[in-house]
Amino acid sequence: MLNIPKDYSLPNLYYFSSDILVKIRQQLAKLLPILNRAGFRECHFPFLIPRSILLYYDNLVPLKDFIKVYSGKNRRSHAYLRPDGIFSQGITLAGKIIKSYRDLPLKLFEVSPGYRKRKIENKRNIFTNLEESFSLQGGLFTEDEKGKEYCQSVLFEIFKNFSIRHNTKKTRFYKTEAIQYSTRFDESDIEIAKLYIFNQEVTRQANIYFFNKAGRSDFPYMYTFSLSQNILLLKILAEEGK
Amino acid sequence: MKLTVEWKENPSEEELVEWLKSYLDFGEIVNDDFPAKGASSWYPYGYSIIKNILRLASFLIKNIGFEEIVLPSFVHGEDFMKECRNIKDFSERVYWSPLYKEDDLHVVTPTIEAQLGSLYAKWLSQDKRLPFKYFTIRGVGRYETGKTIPLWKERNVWPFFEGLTAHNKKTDFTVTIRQQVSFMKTFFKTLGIPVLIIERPKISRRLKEYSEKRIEAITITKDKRVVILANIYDLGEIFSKVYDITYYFKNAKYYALTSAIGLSGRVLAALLVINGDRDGFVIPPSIAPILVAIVPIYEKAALHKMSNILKNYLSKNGISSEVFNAKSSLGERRRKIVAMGVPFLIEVGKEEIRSSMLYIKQRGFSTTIQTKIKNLPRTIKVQSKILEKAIKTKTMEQFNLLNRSAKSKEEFLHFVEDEFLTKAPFCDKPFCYEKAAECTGKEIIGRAYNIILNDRTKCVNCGKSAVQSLYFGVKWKGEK
Repeated sequence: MLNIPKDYSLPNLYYFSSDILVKIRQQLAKLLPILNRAGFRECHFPFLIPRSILLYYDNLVPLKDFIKVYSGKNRRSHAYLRPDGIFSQGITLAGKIIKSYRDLPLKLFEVSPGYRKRKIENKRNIFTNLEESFSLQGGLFTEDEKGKEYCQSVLFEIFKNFSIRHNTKKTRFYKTEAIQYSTRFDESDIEIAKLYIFNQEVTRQANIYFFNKAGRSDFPYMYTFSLSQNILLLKILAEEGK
Repeated sequence: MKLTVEWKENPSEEELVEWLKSYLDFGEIVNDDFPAKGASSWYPYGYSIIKNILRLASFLIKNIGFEEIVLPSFVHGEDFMKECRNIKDFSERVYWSPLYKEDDLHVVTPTIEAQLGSLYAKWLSQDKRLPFKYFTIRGVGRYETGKTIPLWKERNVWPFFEGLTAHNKKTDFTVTIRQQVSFMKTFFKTLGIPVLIIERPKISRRLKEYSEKRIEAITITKDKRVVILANIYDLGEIFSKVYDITYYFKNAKYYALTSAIGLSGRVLAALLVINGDRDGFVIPPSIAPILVAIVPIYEKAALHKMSNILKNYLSKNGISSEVFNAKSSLGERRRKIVAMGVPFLIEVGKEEIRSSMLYIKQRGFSTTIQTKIKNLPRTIKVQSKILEKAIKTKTMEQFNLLNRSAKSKEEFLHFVEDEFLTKAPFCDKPFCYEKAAECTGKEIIGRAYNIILNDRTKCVNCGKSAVQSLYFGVKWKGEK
C-alpha cells in the first residue's frame, strides 16, 4: 500500500519519503520520453506570479482563485503562487524565444509544484491537496489552430501508456475553450484508489486549454495542457495493488 | 541579435555582472524578463545543464548516506517563528500566505531547518531512530530587498539543494561533517570549479546567532571578488533546543546534534563566470547537454539532410547534438552557439559532403580538428576528454593567479592591496587579525579548514607562533 505520510504539523500538506519519490520518478520516466518524442522541451519557471502576469489572461480567471503571498510579515506587497493547471509563466519565456530567434511551433513543458486554493473545512487528502509537487504543465505556441489536436494526441499517448480510461468533456473555462479529461483506472484499481479519494471514483486529471493568442494580437495561438500528480500516484497505487 | 556588453580581462564587479546577465539570456541559460523581481525562467538548454549538475550533487550526497525527500513549499507560521524568536528574526525577509484562513499564516519556506526540524522532532516522538540524514532539491522564497542578480541573488531561488542531519553520537556527527566537506571537494573538482574550503569559527560575532561553526566552499572570480558557493553549518544543539529534537538514553533526555548543508544555482553562475570569455560561456563536455552543434551553412535541402544524418549517427553512438537550422545568418548562428558554450561545432557545406571530411571547432580554444565522417563519434569522444582537461587546467591557472600565500607582513600588505585573495599565518590574538583587517580595509574571509601549521610559522603581524592561516579579501556585494 502507498504510504504517503501526512504532514507533521500543517493541515493538508504532505511530504514524500525517499521510497515514494523513487516510485514517482519511475512513473515520470515513462511519461517524459513521450513528451520529448513529441518535441516538448523541459524548462522551469518561477513559482511566484505577479498580478500583471495573471492579467495576460485578460481576467479569464478571477484573482481570488489563486493563492496570495505577502512579502514580509508586515505585508508590504503581494504576489500569487502559480496554479496547478495553467502554463501561465510560459508566456513570458515563449514570447522571448519566439521574438529572438526560434521558429514556431514552440513546445515547452515543466514538472514542478502547482498550487490550488482549498478551504480548510473540507476534508482533504493527498489527492485533493493544495500543493501538487509534481504538476505537469505544457504549452504549445503555433501560428495555426492545429495545436489542440497535437496536445490531445500527446495526452492520449500518455493515457494509453498509463492504461488510463478517460472521458472527454468539452467545456468553457471562463471565456476559454477547454477540454477536460476525466480519468479512471480499471475497477480493481479503483477499489484501492477509493480509500484515498473517498468514493470519488471519477476525477478530473488532465486539461487542455486553448488561449486564442493569449489575449494579445501580437502573440501566436497558445495551447496549454496539464496533467495532475494524481495520475502518477494512482498508477503507483494500481501497480502496488496488483 | 548583438550584445552591447564589452568583455574586459580585468572587469569590475559591475562589469562582470552585466556580462553575466546579458549572456545568461543570449546563451539560453535563464531569462529574467519575468515581471517579478528576482525570479528567473530557465530555458530548456540552461535547465538541462543545471539538471546535470544536480544529478551529480544527488549522486555524491547519496554516497555519504543521505536520502532524498520532497517537502511541501510551506512551513506553518508558528514553526517558522520559533526560529525567528529564538535564533534569528528574518520574518520580514520571507513570503507569508493565508493559505486557508486570514488569521492562520504559513510561510513559503526559505530554508530547510524550521521545516525539517519540526519533522525530525515528530519522528523522534514516534520512535524513529537517529541518525537522520535527508536532503531535498526545490525552490525557496526569500524576500530580498536589495539588488537581485539572476542565479546569484534571487527572491525565487531555484534550485536550492539543502540537507539536514541529526545525530545522537558526537563521533557520528563529526564524521558526517567531514563527509560533507569531502562531498563539497569532490563536487566542485568534478565540475572544474576551483574552491578553497574555509571555516568561519567565532571570528565574526554575528555567526554565533545561528551556528557553532560554518564551513564554506569559496572561489574567486575575475573581478577579484570572493564568492561563497556552498555552506555546511555545524548547528550543534541550537536548533534541537528550539524544535525539541530530543532522544532518551538511560532515561535521560538529550538534544540531538544537527548540521545543515546547502548550495544553489549560484554554482552554475560561478562556473559560467569562471570559464567564460569575450564570446560567452564555455561549458565543460561532462555537463554539456549539447556536445556538438551541427550547422548547415545555408538553406539547402541536401545540407539539412546531411546535418540530420550526422545528428542521428552521433545519437546512435550516445553523443548529444543539435542541428541549428539555416533560418538566420551563418554568423548569427555561430555567435549563438559560441555564446551558449557548446563544446564542438561542425559546419556542413557542399565541400564537406563531397569529401566526407569534417572540421570540428572546439569552444574556448582555437583548435580545429579534421576527421572523416565515419570516425566522427570516436573523435568527439576522444576530444571531449582532452577539452574537459584543458578547460579545467586553464581555470585552475587563472584561480592560482588570483589567490596568494603571504609569508611576511610586507608580502601580506602587497597582496592584499592588489586585492588578491590572500592567505597568511596569524596567532590566536584577535588584536593581530582584527588590526590587519582594519589597516588594509579588507575582510577576514575565514580560516583555512583543517590546516595544521608547523612550529616555525610566525604570525605576520606580531611575529609570535602562528596557529591558523586566515584568508583576507573582498567579497561580492551583499555577501554575508
